[in-house]
Amino acid sequence: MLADQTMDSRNNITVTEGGVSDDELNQARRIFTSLLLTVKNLSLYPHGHTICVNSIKQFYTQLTAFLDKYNTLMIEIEREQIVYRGKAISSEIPEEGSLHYTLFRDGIRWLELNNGIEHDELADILLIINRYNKLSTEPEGDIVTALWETHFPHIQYEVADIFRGGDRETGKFSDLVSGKSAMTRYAEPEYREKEYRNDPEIDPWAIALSPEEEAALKEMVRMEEDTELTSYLDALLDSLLQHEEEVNFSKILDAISEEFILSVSRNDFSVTLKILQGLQYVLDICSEDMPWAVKLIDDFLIKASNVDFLAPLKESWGQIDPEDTEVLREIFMLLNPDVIRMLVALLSQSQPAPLRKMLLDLIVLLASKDTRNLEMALNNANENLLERLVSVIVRMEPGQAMKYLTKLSQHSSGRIRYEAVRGILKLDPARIKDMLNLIDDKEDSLRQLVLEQMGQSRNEAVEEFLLSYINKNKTGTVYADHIIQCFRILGRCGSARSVPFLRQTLIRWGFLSSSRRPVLRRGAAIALATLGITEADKVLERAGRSFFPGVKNVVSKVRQELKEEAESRGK
Amino acid sequence: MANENNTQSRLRAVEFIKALYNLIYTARIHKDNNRLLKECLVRFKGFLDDMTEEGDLEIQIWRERFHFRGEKLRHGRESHNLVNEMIKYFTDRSIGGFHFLAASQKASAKDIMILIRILDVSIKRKDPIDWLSRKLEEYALSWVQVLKRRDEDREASVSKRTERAKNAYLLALDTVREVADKASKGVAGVLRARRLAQNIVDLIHEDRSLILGLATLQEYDDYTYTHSVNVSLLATCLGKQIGLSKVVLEHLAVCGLFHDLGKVGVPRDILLKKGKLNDDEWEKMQSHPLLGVKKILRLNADKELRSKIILGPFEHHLNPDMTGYPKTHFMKKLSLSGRILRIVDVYEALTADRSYRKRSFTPDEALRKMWSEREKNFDLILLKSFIQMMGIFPIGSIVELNNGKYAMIMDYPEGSLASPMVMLLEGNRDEGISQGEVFNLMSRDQENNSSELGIARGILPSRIGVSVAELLLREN
Repeated sequence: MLADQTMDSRNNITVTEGGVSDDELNQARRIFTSLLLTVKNLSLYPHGHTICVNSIKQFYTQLTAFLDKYNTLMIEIEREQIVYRGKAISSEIPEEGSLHYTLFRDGIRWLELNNGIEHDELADILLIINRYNKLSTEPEGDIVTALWETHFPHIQYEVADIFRGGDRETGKFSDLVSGKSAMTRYAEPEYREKEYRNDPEIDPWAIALSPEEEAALKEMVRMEEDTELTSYLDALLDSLLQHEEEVNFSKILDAISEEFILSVSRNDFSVTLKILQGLQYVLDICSEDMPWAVKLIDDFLIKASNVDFLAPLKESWGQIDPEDTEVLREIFMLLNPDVIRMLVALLSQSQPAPLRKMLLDLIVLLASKDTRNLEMALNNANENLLERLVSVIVRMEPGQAMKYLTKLSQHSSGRIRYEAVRGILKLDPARIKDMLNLIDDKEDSLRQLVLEQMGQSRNEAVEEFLLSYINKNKTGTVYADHIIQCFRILGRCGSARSVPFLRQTLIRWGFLSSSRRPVLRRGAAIALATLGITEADKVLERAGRSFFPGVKNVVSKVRQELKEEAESRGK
Repeated sequence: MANENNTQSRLRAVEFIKALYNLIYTARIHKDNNRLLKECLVRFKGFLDDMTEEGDLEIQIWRERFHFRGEKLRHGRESHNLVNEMIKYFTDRSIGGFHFLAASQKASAKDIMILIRILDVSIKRKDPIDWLSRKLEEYALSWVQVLKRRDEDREASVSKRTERAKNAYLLALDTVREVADKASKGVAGVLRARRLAQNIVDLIHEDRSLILGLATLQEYDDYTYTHSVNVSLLATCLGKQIGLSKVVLEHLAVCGLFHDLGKVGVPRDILLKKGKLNDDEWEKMQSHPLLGVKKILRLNADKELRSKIILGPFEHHLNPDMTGYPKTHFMKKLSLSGRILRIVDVYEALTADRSYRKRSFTPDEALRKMWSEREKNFDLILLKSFIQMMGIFPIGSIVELNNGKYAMIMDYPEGSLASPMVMLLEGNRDEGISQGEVFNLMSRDQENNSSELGIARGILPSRIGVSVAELLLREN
């Protein structure tokens, strides 16, 4: 087909060769220069950039003006020049990467653009030219294949015979049909009179397709046209199963590995899962007889679990369909525990609840198998991520969890310390005794948390600590609210042992500085009222009748407040 | 303005050819009173009136292109197949063109239908042009004249196409050999194979019979290479027969070329062994689809192409029920390319000389054997399509006619299995066979009013000492 076009087009050229005017030649030259410029722009700017769009538009305008006048633009690509109707319009030795070089390299002998070409068609052609101008050689493909497969209606071209010119001599066709004379070969007497094989005749009606078969055939063709990768993977996995040499096994595993990456980048998780399940099966089969195969597959799984290998997933995680959650869970479960670093990275993104839960579950599960990756993640994670990880750690084996949480409770971030301590207290509330000094932490929420926990039950150690703490800070700079809170907690965790100190703080005033006096009295009154024991109530009774209005009033006010609090709790 | 007119004329000419094509092929299916046929007729008449408005319209075929009023018809690639089909249609009838006089405007619908119907059946006549001219006179269709195709032009164009096809065959052999060599040493590229596959697809679209003829070539240097090329050609032809797109056909052609690449890894003494293979040898032989996968993976091909060309070679010894080899655990059904390769591979292997059997099957024997094993070994729909494509006596079959003469099947011009073109083979094995007359088997009965001339049976070429490929391609 192409050869026919060559002949005809070339004939046309020959006829009109002498007749090309300077004007036409100059216009053709300008078009070619414009083509070079457009291709250059396409190579410099990303697809869709204004400069590319305008450049194509401009080239299209110039080209269609030319085609309206001359109907066809046909350029011949020679090694050292581009020729239009027998005259050179560019005569430089092409450099690698230039349009001239690419067209010549890929064997395009001539290229013809015909009148009627549409803007989109031209844009597609230019994009193909640009694409293959960038690519060096196979396996990325070549410009001829791209043009052949795309069927542009207004572009014709002829391809030089790329099979020629090698160091191999192609045989002669006559050798094929008579060189090893079929006659002499077949003329051996023993072959002459062999019986005629007698399978039954084919009934011509029997080979007609029924309407159902016609429909089935159409469906077969349709399915073949739609890419279906899984069959190809089946073939690779079956090959893997049967190759007993390491080098072959490894080669096929490499191909599977490429498909794995592709499937991840396409979010085609059913394929990803198929690969991993297939490899798991192969692993089971090979584990006894082919230890090297086990190592190869393990190595692949380690590689496949790497953050870099799974990088496309990180980029597309925001668009993952929550319906894929279960498939993803299976995928991660089949990977090496190293994948935990990827899971941690994914956890840092915002995502639907089912996905987040899946990640948390998996991290817990995988961390229980191998903690190194989690430790690494903890060392490198930012504040937001660490905050989320605490909820993972809490769900781990208590011993391990306590180890990580204790470490995190020393973290420089108040939020992290808070989460870590919360986790610790959730796992073992009794650990509060080791954290009492956190009531002085910079983080307000952490102080509150610790105080709340301290007030959960009567506890002698906590009581001792608070008595000492309040005593130490009665003249200090600790905020009034904090001191009041400490008294309140003392009321909850304390006992009769605190009453003398509280009585003294409430009623006697000799040792109190005037500015802190109201705060401490109020705190002591709250603590005594909260203690709810007889000794404390007696002190309050007495203070309520005090001659000193400051003492009397504070008791009354605190009683009223506590009553209101109790009522509001009751509601 | 002038160019606008040119473009308009070109478009009208392409539409005219399309309308004629639709009319001819619809008329084959329907009777004159069919609504669809009437629509086609009105459409064609519209274009005919339009184009003869400014005077006589001469359409000629020259150098495999239509020329309207002396100007070569330019058409886009989307019309390429259709235009080629029409050129072949007229070429098969030795028609070099038409002269529609301005009086065509007055031609009735009935007159046009007569023209279409006699055109169609003229293929069965010994001298279609002469017969057509007589018929036009008989029906008083004076508004149209049929031009005879110039023999030298026909020969030149056919010869050019044949040369291209032969060249492609040689290059295919060379490519398969080169890839096999390189794949066994290191990494081989696929660029040549792809370009070659594109060439094969184009050739099949132009002249499938020629390619089917080429696929009868056997044994050159190494059987594996000719076998691979033949399988590629046959598979691509079958792919076209069932309507695969050009891109899929390209992949199928590459699949065919590389389907036995794994045999490079099987010792030659096993491949060429006469007699039965022992268990160990058989096991090695059975490994070739797996070795093929490995070799294809080593090709310097992009992933997409690789994924398309691995299945066929892997599956070509598997039956639809997944028996055969290699053993599969993951694969549950065969791909279309695998099923196509399975059929053409068996056919090619049966019709070729193999060291392990005394003689090959004749093409019709091979088809009958395959048909008898259709339930288990092949996809039935594809096997039917394959036999429809090949003909019960495939192109290149040497047959004995029921009058005792020998002939070779040359073509099934209109796809009708009942009326092959045959070439008589005269003489005998000892004195030498010479090419005789070429004629349509069915028309011969009609012209001679003789009793039905038919094929008695297929015979081995060796029986009369001929090389099918040589005869076939010399004739082409």
